[in-house]
Amino acid sequence: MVGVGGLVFRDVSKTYETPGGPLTVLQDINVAVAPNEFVCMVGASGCGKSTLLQCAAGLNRPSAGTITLDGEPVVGPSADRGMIFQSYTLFPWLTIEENVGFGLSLDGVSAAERRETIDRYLGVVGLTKFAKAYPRTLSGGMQQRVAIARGLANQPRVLLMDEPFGALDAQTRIVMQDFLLEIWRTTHISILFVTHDVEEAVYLGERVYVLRSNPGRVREELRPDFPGTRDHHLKRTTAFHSVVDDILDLLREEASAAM
Amino acid sequence: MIRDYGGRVASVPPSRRTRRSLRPSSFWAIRESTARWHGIVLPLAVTAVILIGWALLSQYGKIPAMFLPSPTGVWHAFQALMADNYAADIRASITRVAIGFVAATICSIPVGLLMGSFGTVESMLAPVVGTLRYVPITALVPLLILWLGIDEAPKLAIIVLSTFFYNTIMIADAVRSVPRDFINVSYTLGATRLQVLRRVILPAAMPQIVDALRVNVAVAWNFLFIAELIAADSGLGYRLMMAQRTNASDQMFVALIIVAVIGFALDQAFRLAKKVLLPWSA
Repeated sequence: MVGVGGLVFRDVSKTYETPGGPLTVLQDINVAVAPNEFVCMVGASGCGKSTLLQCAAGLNRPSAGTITLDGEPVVGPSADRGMIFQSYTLFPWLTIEENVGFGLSLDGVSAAERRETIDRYLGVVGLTKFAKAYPRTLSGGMQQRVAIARGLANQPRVLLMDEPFGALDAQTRIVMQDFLLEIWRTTHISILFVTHDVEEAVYLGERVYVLRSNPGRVREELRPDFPGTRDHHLKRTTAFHSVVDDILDLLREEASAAM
Repeated sequence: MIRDYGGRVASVPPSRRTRRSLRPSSFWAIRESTARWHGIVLPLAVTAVILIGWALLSQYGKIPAMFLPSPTGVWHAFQALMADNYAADIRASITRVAIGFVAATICSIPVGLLMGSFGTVESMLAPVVGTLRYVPITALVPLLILWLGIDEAPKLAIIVLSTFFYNTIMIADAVRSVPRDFINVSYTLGATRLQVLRRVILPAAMPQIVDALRVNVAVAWNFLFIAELIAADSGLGYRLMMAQRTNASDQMFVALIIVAVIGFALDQAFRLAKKVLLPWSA
């Protein structure tokens, strides 16, 4: 297994026992996220993409197949695999800086070192002046930025993101996408990002996996190659839209078949 | 400036019925915040109406003072009782509730925390907690006297038992309402199960736990009287029994009013404590 870097899913399946018989949510998933890579996964609701991410986080266990991170099998949750949720998960009883330092405090990191890391990542997400505030005083977009800072401060080897901008309004969402790209460029952390928003997946991902539903399988793998640095102008180009349209066609095919 | 894209909308004919608009009202505003003075003036007004009604009824209602003492009569009874070391009885009652309730709380927080967190603990305790809570505490009195005698111990036991089960069940519920994602995100930040219990579930459930305690301290306060009616030689319940022997309704009123005032003060104290200690939960 030495030499297989990054997050690797090998023949991963997930089946639930239900009163109506076994229900296969994921079938033979083979997916990889290389070190420093930004990979997106897009699919309709019910394609098992959240389950897949939970399996990677160790919060859920695949029925078959293996998941490895840098060659080591995933057996349970660990600080190596940070996760950002769609719901707001900042702890309301802690201030912003205490939230960001939460992972470090679990590990017994010295106060001085913690201080330094908190300051750095609050700076990265541009919320230094809210250090002493409580989460409820922040907007949804700000809260998700703090959640990302909390994830990054823990220095995981891969960041798993489960529709992190799904609860935000359209405008904030666009700002957050650029913000996340900026973070990725500066930290070059590996990211596996799950969404049902095709534009978001194409805009963010170096590679995009398209999932199909019932059971969840990888339908297609795309490597959108856009010249230059990605910014919001990209979303107006024909190249961008042709990739988006290709994926929408794939998903539409399936959606109409399901109806 | 209107930017017209040339779209055409099919027109919807307006209804020809005449319709009223809802008139604004500050008094009858349903689930809206009312004016600040409402919260101060209305309770005082209602209290005044009750007191005046009581005074008029006792004065002109042709009800014998033995059944309905006048407010001034109750005031005089209060002064007489205070001269007779009534404060010691108030203190005795408060001490019993305090000791019993604190003991019940110290036991029920860890038990409720474990029950709400672990399905296995829940399964183990459900037959015990689920059935014992339906046993009336009063039905345990003979046993408690047999086991513990008639001193302080059975009285405290009644208060502890009456609150422990409710506390535990409500704390377990508070724990179950902690969002799953709080727990999951803690795991992905590297938390152990013990750390999740202590540093995530307990603080997250705290506001609801304090609310549960506020409700259940009233239960403890209720059961104090059952405890003190058994065989006490001090306390408000004991004084109430004494008043009954002489049909001294004015003294009974004194006890009831004091109980109500202390209960109200406890309720306010819990609300204040929550505001001060858990400012984030507002």
